[in-house]
Amino acid sequence: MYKIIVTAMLLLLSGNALACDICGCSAGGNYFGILPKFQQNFAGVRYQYRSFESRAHESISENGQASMEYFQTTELWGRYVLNKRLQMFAFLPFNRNKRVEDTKTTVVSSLGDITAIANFVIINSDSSCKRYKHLLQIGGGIKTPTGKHEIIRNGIMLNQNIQPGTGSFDFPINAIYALRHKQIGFNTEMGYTFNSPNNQHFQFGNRFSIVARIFYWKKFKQTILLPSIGMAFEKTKNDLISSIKQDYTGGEIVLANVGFDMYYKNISLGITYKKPMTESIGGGYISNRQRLSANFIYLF
Amino acid sequence: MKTIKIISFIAFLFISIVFFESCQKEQADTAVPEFTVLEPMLGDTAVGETHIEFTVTDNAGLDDLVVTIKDKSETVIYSKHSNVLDLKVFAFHDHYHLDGITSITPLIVTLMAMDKSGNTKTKEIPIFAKP
Repeated sequence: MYKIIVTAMLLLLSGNALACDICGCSAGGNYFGILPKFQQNFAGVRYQYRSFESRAHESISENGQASMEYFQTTELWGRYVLNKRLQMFAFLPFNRNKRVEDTKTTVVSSLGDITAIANFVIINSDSSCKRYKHLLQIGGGIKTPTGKHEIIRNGIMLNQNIQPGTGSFDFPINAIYALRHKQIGFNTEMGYTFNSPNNQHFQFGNRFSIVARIFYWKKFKQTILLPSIGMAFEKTKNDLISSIKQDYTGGEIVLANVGFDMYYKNISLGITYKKPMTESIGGGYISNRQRLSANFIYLF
Repeated sequence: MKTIKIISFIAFLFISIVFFESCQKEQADTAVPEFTVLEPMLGDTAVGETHIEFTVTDNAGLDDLVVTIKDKSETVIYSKHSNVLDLKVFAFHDHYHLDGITSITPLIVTLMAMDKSGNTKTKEIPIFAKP
């Protein structure tokens, strides 16, 4: 058992890391967060806010203008436990993307790309008789091009990174590991997305992300409080147009995150704040600002 | 006999409708593709590289798109075909490095799009290149 855990940990913590919202694209990394009650179904809604600053460069913003970009995603999501070994996740996002330049502001609001993921439970020792509780899941899925990706304003198609959808079938894979001993726990998740080109011959760079959190578990009668702190690393490869690597795209970022989750009976509420610590994105022309996410889950 | 007449009449009606519809469709698409160019603009001066960015649209669907840059002797120094088959909208974005420019040189950027019905639109944008 411990060999499997050690191997899994090494897999999670090694390799090149990649997955970021370069240029604040709508195909942002999709974190699961600290999921409650591993063997129960849930449905919920979550909100993510991300903002970026793009400095003037003709390859990044039209006519060399600097811009601020704001991305808000509100999505319905859920988990359905098929059996002890297999869980299905589904994500139905609605995106509101905004780009503010000196001379104009562009806002698009639309359904995003629907994602479905199947996760296999490799280890689940969530039993009260165990001193250490472990969970290891690995899985993968498909992101379908249900979001618009050819929105035109004043005759010009908006940049792909501000469109609500990517227009491509993409294939995310993930691994989640959680460990808890008494009131202290550790959670990590890793994801990699293989992106394919859309009909505009545009292909977002493949993305990698890894996040690790330490949490404190405290139960008060029927309420569980779970504050957490952690670090995330994301890296994305360069975007491609007609298979040609695009300059000033791709990059990597390290974020510090702090979160607070609360569980009461069948309800879970959570909030996470992420602040960039160091980054090199878009050749240094793009800076991430804060990220905020909140979620509500109903377990059944 | 009566049944045959009814069937023949219905078949005649059906064929007529199909024929009429297909005639209408043939008449419908005379619209040429449309360009909306972000860069370059007429008379722009490119230094080091040319940034070409435009959107082309067509009501029925595109068939071909070619972008070329020629110098004053009509020599093609840049040419790019894009696979736009059946697309109603396509965003073109490319950068061409202007190597070997030693003085201010007039160039012509030509955009040519053809739709599935053979309607063609060509747009020429004279620019200048500077070393």
